[in-house]
Amino acid sequence: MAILGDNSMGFEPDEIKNKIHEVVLKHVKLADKNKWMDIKLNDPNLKFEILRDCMSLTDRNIPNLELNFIETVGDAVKFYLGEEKKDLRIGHPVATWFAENEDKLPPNMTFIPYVKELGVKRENRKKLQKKGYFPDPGPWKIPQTRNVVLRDTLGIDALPRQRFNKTKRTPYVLNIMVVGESGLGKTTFMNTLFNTPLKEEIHPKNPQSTQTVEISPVHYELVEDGVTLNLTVVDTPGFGDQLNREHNLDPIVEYIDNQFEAYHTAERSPEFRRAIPDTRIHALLYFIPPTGHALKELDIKSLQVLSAKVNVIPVIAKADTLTQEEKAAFKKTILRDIEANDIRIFPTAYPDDRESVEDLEVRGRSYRWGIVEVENEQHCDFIHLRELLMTHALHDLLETSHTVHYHNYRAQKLRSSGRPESILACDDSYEHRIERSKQSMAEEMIKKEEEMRQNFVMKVREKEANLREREEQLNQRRQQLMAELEEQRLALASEEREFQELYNANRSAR
Amino acid sequence: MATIAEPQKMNLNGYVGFDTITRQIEKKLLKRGFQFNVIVVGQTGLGKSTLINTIFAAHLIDSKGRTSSEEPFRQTTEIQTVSHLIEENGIRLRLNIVDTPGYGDQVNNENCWEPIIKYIKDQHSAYLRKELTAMRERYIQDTRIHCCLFFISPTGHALKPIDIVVLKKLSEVVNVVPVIAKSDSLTMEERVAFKRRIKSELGFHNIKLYPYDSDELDDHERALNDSIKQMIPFAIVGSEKNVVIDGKSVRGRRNRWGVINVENEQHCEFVHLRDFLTRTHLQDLIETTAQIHYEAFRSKQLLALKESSSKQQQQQQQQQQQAQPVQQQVGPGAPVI
Repeated sequence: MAILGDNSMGFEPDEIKNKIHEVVLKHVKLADKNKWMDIKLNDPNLKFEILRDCMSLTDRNIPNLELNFIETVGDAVKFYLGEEKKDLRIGHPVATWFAENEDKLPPNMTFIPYVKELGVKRENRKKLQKKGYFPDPGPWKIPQTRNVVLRDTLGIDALPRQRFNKTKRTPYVLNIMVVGESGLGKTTFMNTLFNTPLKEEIHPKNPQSTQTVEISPVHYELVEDGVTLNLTVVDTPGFGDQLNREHNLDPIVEYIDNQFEAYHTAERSPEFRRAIPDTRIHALLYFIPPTGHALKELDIKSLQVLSAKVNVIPVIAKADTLTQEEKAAFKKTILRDIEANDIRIFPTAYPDDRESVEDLEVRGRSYRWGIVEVENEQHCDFIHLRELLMTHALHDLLETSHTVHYHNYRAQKLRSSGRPESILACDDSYEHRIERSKQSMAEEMIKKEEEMRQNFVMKVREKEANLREREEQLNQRRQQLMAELEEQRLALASEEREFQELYNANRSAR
Repeated sequence: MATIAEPQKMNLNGYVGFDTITRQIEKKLLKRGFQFNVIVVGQTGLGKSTLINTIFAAHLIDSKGRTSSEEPFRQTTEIQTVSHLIEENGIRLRLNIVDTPGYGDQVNNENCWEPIIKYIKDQHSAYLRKELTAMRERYIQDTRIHCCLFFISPTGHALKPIDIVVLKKLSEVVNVVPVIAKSDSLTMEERVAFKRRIKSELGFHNIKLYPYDSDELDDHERALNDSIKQMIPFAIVGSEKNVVIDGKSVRGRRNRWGVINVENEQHCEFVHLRDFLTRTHLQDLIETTAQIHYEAFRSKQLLALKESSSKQQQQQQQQQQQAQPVQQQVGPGAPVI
């Protein structure tokens, strides 16, 4: 059993330290070379770079559990030197009991010592200990797995067969869309591919009658050897036929998006999540006319748009008009064009399956100069295409369309509707974001405080100004009143003098 | 006006010799040489250049398709002319071939026919201008388009909207000969059904194709025209490369299931088209262009000229009239100052 922190690689501790020192220097510019152990590894990119280099140098992976606790370079060094970790089972009473009674216990029962949580605060630690949790590796982290050696047959090798039996009973769903100008043989091809007359008559469509592209899905149920296939063929009559073909793709893209949308709502609703009816397009066959030149603008634009949404398989239609050399040259030109325009086509692992020619009744076409056999490999690649679609890649198609295209659509839709990125993406960045948001909130608070203070100051000043004014006014009033009082006193004084004079005059007269 | 009296039929007593006039004309024509202008119209990749090279048995034009990813798309229909001088048995033919790369290739094909129509009308108007000048040359270089080969793609269903619109516009200014390109992708039944449908559509939209009906044709010519009309549109296969069939080297295409001989009537109608264009109806095409299309263009132009000149006169008169009342006003109003 692996013991954490075991320095069993044969490196001297100093060597390890030097190596880590070198790694750190490579990634970080330091002012003080002696303080390299104190560098904080808060930036997840930096942490990743340094630790990755350490791991490749010392050939020892750091388990997820430890990654969480390595916050500075010093911690990483400690981990690699194995200073702190000890084998917790030495001296552990339960471990010794287990060792003693090994033969009495069932063979696959082992003892895992409890690892003390370093990042947990003391109060919480007691709580967790009480609840008896397993060592919590932190949010969104996978606990360390250990390999188990079986001492007896378990029988899980029958699992694939069980799965196969189950899936054999459920019907497969395959939705194919065919896109191409009219007259390229799309309907005939579908009939030939499935060896049944899917569409009874191929009446010539009148291209002037279609003003827009119609979407006409037809559903079939085919049974072969106990496996049922629910096939839907979506035909697009009218594509590429009008004068102005700029908006020909819109109905098709809308249809594809609608199917994704339906699946998405079904996924989210609780009732029929088990058996979601899958109407998403799994494969789109794009028919290219056999001109011999490179792709036309309409084809390139359509392929670019469509290959981002569904699995596109380009097909050269009516290839019996081309000789062998022309065919090979044409294929090369098309492939170069596809590469140059960054179009992702489905079977990139099968480079030579891309052609089709067919007919309805006779499995061949008879001309006056010979007969083309559809199923003859020498004549055309129909066999390859059928093999590709049915045997090799059926499941691949379904899977790719679900995992890649449907999830692309879903991600786009959710992002555009404003949902934030998954907050459980990575622990470090989560903390980061929390800190950043804390900081930003603190800054906001400070700003608001400032504002309020300034408001307050302003108000105080105003009030002061007001009061001063009033003081002024009152002073004036007082002065006025004082002046009046003075006047009155003077008046009184003068009257008193007069009275006194009169009185004196009166007295002296007697 | 002088009226010409009804001519009297005379019997000749001896040999006069004015029947050699045909030979004199021939000699003159040999010296002058013929001039033939063809325009090929059709989408990319239908084999227009190959067919021209096959008909005239020489490499005259190159395919102008987009062959590598770095080449840009043509944003409009371009007109490219090449001129060749072919000589056979002392007869010289000056051949102008006008190619139209970019036709019908864009995503939005509205007005893709306008450069073509403009070019054809420009040739007519150049000829008209040369005719109208006082000092006319003895023999005007004829650059008017005598024949338009219109290529239909072998879908097997029916004509596309772009085909119908362009055919309508083209058949008003030039002789149009429709052709089914790459017809080795159609079996015999498909070919017959396709032709039938095309003919019914052409009739429905009233598109007039060459050869035209005319009262001056005699029975033999009319029968020939009828047989041509049966075969239109010609289902052809073109090839510049030779394949060996029965020890002979002929032009054709070889596939793993068979060999197509271009000159075999059973395989395709190339021979009929070639004979039609070069051996039987060459002169007729030139004449029809001159007599029908050019005359129509000319009359329209001259009428328009007359109308515009009369309008100018009217405008001038109006201006003069307007000038006079102003003068009258100025007279009595002057003494206010």
